[in-house]
Amino acid sequence: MRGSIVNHDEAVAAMAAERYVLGELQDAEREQFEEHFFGCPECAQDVRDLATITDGARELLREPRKAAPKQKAPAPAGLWGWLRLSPSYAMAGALAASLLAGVTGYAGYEVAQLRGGIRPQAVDSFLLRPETRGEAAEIPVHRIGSFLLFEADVPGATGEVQWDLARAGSQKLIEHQSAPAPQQGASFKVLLPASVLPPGDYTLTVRSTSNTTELGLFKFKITANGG
Amino acid sequence: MDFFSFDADYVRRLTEGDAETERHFVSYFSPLLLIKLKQRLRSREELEDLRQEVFLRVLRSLRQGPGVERPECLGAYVHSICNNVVLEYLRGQAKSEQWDEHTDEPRDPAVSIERELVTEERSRKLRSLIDEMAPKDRLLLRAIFLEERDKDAVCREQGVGRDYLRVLLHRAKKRFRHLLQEAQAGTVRPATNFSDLSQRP
Repeated sequence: MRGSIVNHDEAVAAMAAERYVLGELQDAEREQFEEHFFGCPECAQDVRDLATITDGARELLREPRKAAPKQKAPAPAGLWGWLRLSPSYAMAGALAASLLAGVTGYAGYEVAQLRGGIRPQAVDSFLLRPETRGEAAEIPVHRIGSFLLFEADVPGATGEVQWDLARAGSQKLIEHQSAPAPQQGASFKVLLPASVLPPGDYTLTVRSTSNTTELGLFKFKITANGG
Repeated sequence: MDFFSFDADYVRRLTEGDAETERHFVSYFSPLLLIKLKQRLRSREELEDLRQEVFLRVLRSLRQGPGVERPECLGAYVHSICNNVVLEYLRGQAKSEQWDEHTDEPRDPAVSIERELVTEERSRKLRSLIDEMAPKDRLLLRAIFLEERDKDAVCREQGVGRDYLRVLLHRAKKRFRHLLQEAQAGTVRPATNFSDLSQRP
C-alpha cells in the first residue's frame, strides 16, 4: 500500500478496511487508518462488519458443518433482556449503566463508573497498617485496569466517615469522599482502580464526618509490576 | 444504513453523564477498541483491561480534565487515548519481562472474542453468507482466518491473486449488510435493543 489513508475517499479507494482486517497494512498505514476510522462512521462500520465476517467465519468454520446454531431461550424484557442480546453490548451496557450508578461505600469515582461493568474477577486485597506501626505497606500492581481493595481498621468510627487519598507529602487530594462507617468489628474498605494509583507513596486518611477527628492515617506504596 | 457523527451536544451530554449518551458512546467504541487492541495484544484479559482503561480515561478527561476541544474529533480523541494506554502498557510489560523469565505463554486472543463481535442474529446471517459462498471462497476464508496460513501460499494454491481476497471480503461485506437489512426490514425490534442505538443516536 502506497499512500496515505487519512480521509474517507482515500480509504475507500485503497480498500483500506479490507486490507486492515487482512493484516496487509504497514504499521504507519495501520495507525493512519485506525485514527481515521475512529472518527469516520462509514469506515468504522466497514471495519466492524468485516471483523464480524472474519471473526465469525473463524468461529463458524471451526464448527462441524451439521451443528445448528443453538437457540437461546427468549430473553426477558427490560434491561437484562437487552443485556442478553449480545455479550459486547451487554458488557458495554453494564459499563455504561455503572457510569451512572451512585455507588456509596466504595465511593471512588472510577469505581462508580465501572461498577458492574467489568467481568467477575478476583481482586487483590491489602490490609493497611496505621502510620504509627512502621513502614508503609508495599503494594504491587500487576495489571493496568486492575482493582485493589484496601482494608483499614478504624476503631471508634460511627455514623459516616470521610476518607481522603493523597500522594504522600502532597496537599492535593486524589479522592475526597464520604462513606458509612464500617459496622462494629468490620474493617473500612475502599476499592480503587489501579489507574488512579501510579507508582509512588500514598496516604489514606479516615476522619469522622461529624467532628473531623482523625480516625486513622495509613501509608502505602504502590510499585509497578511487583517490582 | 444510518451513520452517526459526534457534535458539541453529544459531548456535552456525555460530559454531564446522560445515560443514553453514555450507552451509545460505550457501545459505539467498544467494538472499535476491541478490533484495534486485538491487533496488538495477546490475551483476552489484556484486551478487557485496556479497553476499560480507555473508557475510564476518556470519561475522566471529559469530566475532570481538559476534555476534547473539537467535539467532531471525539473519535480521534478516543483513539489517541487508546494509543497512550497501549504504549504505557507495553512499556510496563517490557520492563517486567526483563525480570520475569516465567512469563505466561501468549494466548490466542481469538478465543471467545468472536462471540463478542458476532451477535446471535448476525451469526445466523453469517452462516447464510458462508453457505452461499463458492467452495473455493470458503476454503480461502478457512485457510486464512481459521488456520492462519500464509496468505501468499494460499492464494498460489488456489490460483488467485491477493486482490481476490480483498474483493472477496468486500463482496462478503456488501452481501452481509444486505442480509441484515432484509432481516431488519422483516422484524419489529424492541426499543431496548442496543444494536439499534449503536447506529441511531
